[in-house]
Amino acid sequence: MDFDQAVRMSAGKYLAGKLDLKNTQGVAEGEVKYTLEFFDDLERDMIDDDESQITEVEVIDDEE
Amino acid sequence: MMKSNAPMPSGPINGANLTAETRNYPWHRNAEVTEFNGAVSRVIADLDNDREGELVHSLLEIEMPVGDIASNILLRQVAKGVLPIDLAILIAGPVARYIEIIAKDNGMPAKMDMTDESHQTINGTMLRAELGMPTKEKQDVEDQLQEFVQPDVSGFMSMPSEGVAASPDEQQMMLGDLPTLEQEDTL
Repeated sequence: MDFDQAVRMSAGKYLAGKLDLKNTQGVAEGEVKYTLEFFDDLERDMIDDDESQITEVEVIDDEE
Repeated sequence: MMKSNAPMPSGPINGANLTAETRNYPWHRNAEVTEFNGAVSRVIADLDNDREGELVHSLLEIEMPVGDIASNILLRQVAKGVLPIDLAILIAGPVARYIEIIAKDNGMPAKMDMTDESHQTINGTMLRAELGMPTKEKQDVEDQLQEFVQPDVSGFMSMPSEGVAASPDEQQMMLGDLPTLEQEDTL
């Protein structure tokens, strides 16, 4: 197995929610910050930000 | 000289690593980040940086699978001595997910297939073209054109280059052999 294959396997497991990080350094004591839920929230926030920017531009256009 | 009857070792000789010359590559030293959350934060911060961001955008534009983009990004981090190789593999999932978010945010397609069949190698010509850099062939042609267009900077008494010398008729006129009135009429 080469590095590319290992990366794809790891990413596939993480995206399927099957990556076990219990014994990973820096995770054992604390919680995993970058969970799938974290990225779902981040995605929602980024899309919301974009939409709010579009509506702001539309409001400015209407005032003109 | 006495000949030893000891058999040749089939494995590495103990302590050979202490006497062999080792180059000082970044990945031979301790990695800068060694814990999961810190490593993901570091890679995400780098992806938000202009240079890494441009690279990811270019790779997404040529529709490279996200798994391969993540692999390239992580390998660069290992080569720079930022991450140990095992941690780089562990954080591949969060990095791939973040790249997918970048793609969605910019309205670009994100191929999230993580199977071996989806693997695509980076073609240098493809990447150069996408980054707006001249390809080798294009650069060669441009160099040749530049040589052709370049003005003659040789001295006054040097031999004129081919195509620059005046035609034999012009040379005759320059030497004072002016055409007669009859010849002018025919011209």
